[in-house]
Amino acid sequence: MSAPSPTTETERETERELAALGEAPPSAEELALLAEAGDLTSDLADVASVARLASLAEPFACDDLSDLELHRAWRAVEQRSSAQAKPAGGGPRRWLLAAAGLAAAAAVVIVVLQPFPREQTAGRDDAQPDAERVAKVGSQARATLRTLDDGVSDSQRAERMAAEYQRQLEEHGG
Amino acid sequence: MRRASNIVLVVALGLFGSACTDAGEPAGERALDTRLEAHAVLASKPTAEGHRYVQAVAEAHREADRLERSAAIERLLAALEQQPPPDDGAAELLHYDLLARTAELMLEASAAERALALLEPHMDPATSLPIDRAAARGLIALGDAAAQTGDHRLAMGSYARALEMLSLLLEEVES
Repeated sequence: MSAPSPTTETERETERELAALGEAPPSAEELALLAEAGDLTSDLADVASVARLASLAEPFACDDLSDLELHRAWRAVEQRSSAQAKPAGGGPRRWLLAAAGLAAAAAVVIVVLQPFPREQTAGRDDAQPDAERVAKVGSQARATLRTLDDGVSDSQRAERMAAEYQRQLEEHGG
Repeated sequence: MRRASNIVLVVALGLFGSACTDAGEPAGERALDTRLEAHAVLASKPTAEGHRYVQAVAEAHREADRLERSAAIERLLAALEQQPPPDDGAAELLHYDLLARTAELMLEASAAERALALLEPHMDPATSLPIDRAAARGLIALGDAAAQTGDHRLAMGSYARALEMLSLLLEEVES
C-alpha cells in the first residue's frame, strides 16, 4: 500500500527529512498525529522556547505561584524539551515518539498555566475551562495514547500475561 | 512478572496543579486538579491468588469479545468485583486494563455518567497509579466521561494527568 501524499508544508518537510534519513514516508496515522499536534500547538510557535511559551501563556490564572515555583515549572519544560531534541540514533520512528512527547508536554503546559481564561473566571466561582480547549487537550491525549498502541487487544494482552504468570508460578514451584 | 514498587513518584506537575487551585474554594466545588501520583511496576513473586485473578480477567475479556456491548459491559463489571491481590504488578495492570475497557464500552453506549461513577473511585488524584498505558487509557476515559457530563474541570485535569503519564511512558520508551 502506498503512503498518503502530504498536503501541508509541515507534512512535506517531514517527508523530506525522513527521506534524508533513509526512512519510509510517514503513514496516514503518523500524518494524522502530526496534524493533531500542530493544531494544538499552532499558537505556540516554538514549544522548546521557554521564554516564548511564557509570553504566550500570559495572562495565566496561577497568580499564587511564587517565583521559585514558576522557575521550577519552566525548568521542567525546558529540560523535557532538551531531552526530546537529542539526536535519535535508535530504532525507526523515534522522531515520532519525541514529537508526541513534546506535544504532550506542551499540552500539559497549556492546561497548567492556562486552566481557563481570566475573563471567564472573573466574578464566578463555578467557572469551567471552555469546551473547545477541553476537546483539544482530549484529542491530544488520545493521539499520544495511539503512539503507544502495540496493536494487541485487551484479550490478547490478558491471555499473554496469564500465560506468563502461569509459567512464572510453575518456575517458583507453585 | 512485575510488581508495584514502594517507590512513589510524585510527578512535578502535581505541585503546579495544586498551586492552581483555590485554597478558599468551598467544599463540594471541584477545582482543577492535575496531581499525578504514580509508581513504577517491578517484578514480583507470583502467587496462586494472583494466578486465579489474572486467569479470571483473561476469561472475562475473552467472553466479552463474544458478547454484544451491553452484555460485555456486565461481564466485565462482574470481573471488576474481584479485587487484584496487593503487591502484584501483573494483576494491578490487568485491573486497570479491565477498568479502561469497561469505561470505554460505557462511553460508546452513551453511558458517560456510569463510566464516571466507575472510574472516579479508582483514579482519584490522591491515588497512586501504575506507570502504564492502561492507567493513561483510564484517565483519558475519565476525561471523556467528565467532558460528556459537563464537568470540564475534571475533564481537563484528567487529560492533563493522562498526558503526564504518557510523557513518562514515552521517556521510558525512548531511553
